Amino acid sequence: MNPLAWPKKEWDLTQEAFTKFLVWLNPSPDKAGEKYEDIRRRLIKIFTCRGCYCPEDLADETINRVIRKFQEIGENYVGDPALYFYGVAHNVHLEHLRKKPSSAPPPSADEPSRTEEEYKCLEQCIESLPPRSRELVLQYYQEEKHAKINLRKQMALRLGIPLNALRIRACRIRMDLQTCVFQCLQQKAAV
Amino acid sequence: MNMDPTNDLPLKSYLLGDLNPNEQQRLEQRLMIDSAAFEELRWIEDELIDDYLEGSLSGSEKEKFENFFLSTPERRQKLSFAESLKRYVAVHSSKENRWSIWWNSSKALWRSQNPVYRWCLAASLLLIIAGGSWSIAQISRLQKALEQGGSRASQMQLMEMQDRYSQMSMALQREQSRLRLLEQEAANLKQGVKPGNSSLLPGQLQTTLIAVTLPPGQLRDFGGSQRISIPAGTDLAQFDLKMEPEDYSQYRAILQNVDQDKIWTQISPMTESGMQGQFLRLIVPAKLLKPGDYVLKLSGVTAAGDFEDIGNYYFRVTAR
Repeated sequence: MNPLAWPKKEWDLTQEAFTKFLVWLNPSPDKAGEKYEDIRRRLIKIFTCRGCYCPEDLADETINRVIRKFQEIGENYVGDPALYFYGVAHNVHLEHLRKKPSSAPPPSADEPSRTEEEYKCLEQCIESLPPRSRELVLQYYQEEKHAKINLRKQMALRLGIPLNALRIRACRIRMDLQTCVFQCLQQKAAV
Repeated sequence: MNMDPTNDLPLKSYLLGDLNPNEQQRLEQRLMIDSAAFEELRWIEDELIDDYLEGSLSGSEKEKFENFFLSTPERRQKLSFAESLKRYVAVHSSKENRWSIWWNSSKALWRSQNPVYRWCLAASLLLIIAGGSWSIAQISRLQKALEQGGSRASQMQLMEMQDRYSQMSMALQREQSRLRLLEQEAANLKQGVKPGNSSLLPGQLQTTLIAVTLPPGQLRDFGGSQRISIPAGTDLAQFDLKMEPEDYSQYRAILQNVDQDKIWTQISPMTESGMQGQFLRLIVPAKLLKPGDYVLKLSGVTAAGDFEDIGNYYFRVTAR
């Protein structure tokens, strides 16, 4: 168990309360689920940017607190629910700062072997990409500095899309690849 | 003009921990509700990592990157992943890909609505085709010249070998003559004949070589050409070909008979100077010179290996 995990408080969440919470996020159950995931992802990113070692735990604690609070504030809250989450997350972080250890956990000792494993996983993951995505990754990350900028402009021109759309596309492929590599490493570690 | 408002956000400063608390909260609130800003943050984060790996960050940025940005395990994982990705791309990027990019870009330019692009592309293609054709023609011409040069070089090598062979033959003949002379003298001594009464007079060895000086001739006038009588037993004929001062590094002389059959060839490295001016000395085995009309064709060898005619030297060998 993660020693930095947030201590779970005794608290009963009823099905009815959770359903009301989802409706608050979005009346459509599917979209409410997406909104939930989206808010969690942003919270994790913000906790990461604030230098937290266990951003997932802090994001989950934030969500738990919001669901509990929601039973009190009900439907009286006006505005984007995401901003309410942010307010709670800010307080969670302040509490975390009071508790967190003085130094970060040291990096694992088997870094070189992990690097090779990671590279092999990356090869597998890139090979599994659709050809167009693979080609895009190979080209997009090919050059450095000024040559990189020119190359990306050429690519956007060729694809007939704005440069911003191209970088979003590349960024998403990269994110998918990173997820794929992370899962691959976890599978190898489990064997 | 940049229409994307997310470009004005201080995302890089945020990632490096450079914002004050108020700026940070304002930005984080926006990140919670603005999808474009959130996408931009992820992109800037990737770029920041790539810039760090490329060594493009300034000194202070690098320090903040290492001390603040990399303080979380997730970020260190991202850095490690970026290193692997960079390595993979470096290994797998090929010239083919670059060609593909160029080709596709050109196609996109062609398809674009702007006629200026089209004309630029057409002009570029035309230049490439014309330049390429010219280059191919030049390369082909140079290759041909190189091959010719190679065959000339081989030809010259062959001639030099022939020359060396004939010089060695002449030296051998001289030595054989000297040996015959010594044998004869030894035989005479055995028979009690005094050296002075030898049938082979002292200095007879020199008589085995006949020396002739030839001026260049303008016309093939065999009747008026120099007549040479080669005594029996002459081993060698020495021709001094008179000529104007030239600056060739080598000379080629070809001996032809009246039927223009090539009888003998010599490559000589240099000319000599004497009382009568500059000349080229050739030594030809006398046995090659049967009675008849001959011409010695003299050429200079240029630095490029070409032969340039210098002159023809006509002579007639008469019966002995």
